[in-house]
Amino acid sequence: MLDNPSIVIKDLSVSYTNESQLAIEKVSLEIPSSKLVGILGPNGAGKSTLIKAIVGILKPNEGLINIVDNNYTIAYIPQKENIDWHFPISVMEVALMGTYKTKGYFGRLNQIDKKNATKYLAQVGMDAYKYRKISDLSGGQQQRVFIARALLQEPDIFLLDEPFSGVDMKTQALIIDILQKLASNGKTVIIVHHDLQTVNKYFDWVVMINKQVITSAPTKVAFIEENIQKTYYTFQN
Amino acid sequence: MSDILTILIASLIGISCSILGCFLVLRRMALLTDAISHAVLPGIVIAFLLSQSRDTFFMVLGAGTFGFFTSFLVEWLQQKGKIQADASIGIVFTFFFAVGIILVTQYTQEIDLDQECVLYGDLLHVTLDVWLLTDGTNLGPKTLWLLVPLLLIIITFVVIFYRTLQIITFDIVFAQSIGIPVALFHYALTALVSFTTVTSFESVGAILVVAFFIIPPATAQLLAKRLQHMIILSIIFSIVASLLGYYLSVIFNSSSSGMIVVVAGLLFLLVFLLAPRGGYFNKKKLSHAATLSS
Repeated sequence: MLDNPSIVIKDLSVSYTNESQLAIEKVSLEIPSSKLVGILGPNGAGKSTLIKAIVGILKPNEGLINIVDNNYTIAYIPQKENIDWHFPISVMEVALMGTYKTKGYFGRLNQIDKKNATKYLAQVGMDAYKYRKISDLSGGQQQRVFIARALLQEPDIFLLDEPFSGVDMKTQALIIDILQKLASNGKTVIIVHHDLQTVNKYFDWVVMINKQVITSAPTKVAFIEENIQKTYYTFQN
Repeated sequence: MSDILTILIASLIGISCSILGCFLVLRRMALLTDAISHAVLPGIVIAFLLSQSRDTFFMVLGAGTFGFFTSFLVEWLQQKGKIQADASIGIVFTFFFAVGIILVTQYTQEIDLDQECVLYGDLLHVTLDVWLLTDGTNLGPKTLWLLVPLLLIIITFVVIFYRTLQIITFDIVFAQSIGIPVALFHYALTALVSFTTVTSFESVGAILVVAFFIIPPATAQLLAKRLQHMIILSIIFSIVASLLGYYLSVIFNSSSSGMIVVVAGLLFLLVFLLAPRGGYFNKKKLSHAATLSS
């Protein structure tokens, strides 16, 4: 039991769209704030499903997801592989999508929004590129723009789906640095992660899942050989 | 006068189709219009059987309903049946088209359903099919009275929901995460596509409708850096194709719809080869320069 978890999940089961098969099964978790939380597990373990359920894109079959503070808002950073990067749009326009939720359908963008977008683009080192078309950017730069879009949402909870895949080491370091600062300011930061080499370096806390939760604990306690074996090499029913 | 009317009708159809086409092309749904333009046939026949008239209004209503039903079914097969997008389009439209053919041969042998007319349309006939009031006042071609309001609805929809459509089209998962009702917008878009397809169908035929939905947006995408530029450019391309295509068809005494498609295709080829950023020749030059410098 955590002292003050920001998300409490109880007996959560979520299926894929064809409904017969469960992607995650009876998952119970408490996720701390102010820490960098990594979600680890093999392909098909239900990592993306779990965070899609938290953000509300997928409806649970059963179980509860409780965001402890009702006023908390969530920013979600999808996998960048699903995006058509030849889309005719500028870096600035992508970042400004972060204002949509507060603006609604009919709200118009003003100078303050643009100033904010520039500020957050500067934070990820992309302000010099703000009028560029996104197809001109490298994979790492594209990911930074997505981070700026999430920052512009000014949320309390950040959910990132594999933000480091196809991203250079320099950008990885920059993103981790930003996320660490957010965490130390009390935000909840949850990252679906693939690369086991960097787990100790990046995360304070890890959740290891393979359809069910293997462990959820501080990295030093949880990320040990026994749990890695259980998560990656044992068949789970 | 009839020249100007013909070009006006072709351009209005071109504008409507290419605005909606930008979103379809970017969402990789371009062939949905092909499906709709075929799948509406049973709708047209049923409307004819129920109303016992060939009035444009009933035709569009019947066809529009079937068009919308087609896009709904295609989506449903993908979501619930786990059928690939192209396969589900193929299943639905061939089935409906075949049902339409059977209905035609069974019940409507007395009306002539000209195959060529379905494929290539009849712009000349449409300009002559005018709306006459009982006192003899001529209100112009009936099609105009459908096309103009439809275009206004499309423009209003796209202008009001521009940012929403931009977000959904670019990053649908992000759109869902910030609470945009993406299914609702999907069906609004496909409803507009259905009604545009069937309204245009009679005037310009199946091939030109599909071409207008796909070619001008695809051409514009090669040049545009922003979505709004892509929409405006595709409008311009569709008007240029209508104008040039029509006059060329007069000179060569050939099908105007066919010629408009040919011109649109040639414009695409021109831009594809010569575009300053993404063009084939410039890409070759760039990659050559890159090889030299490395």
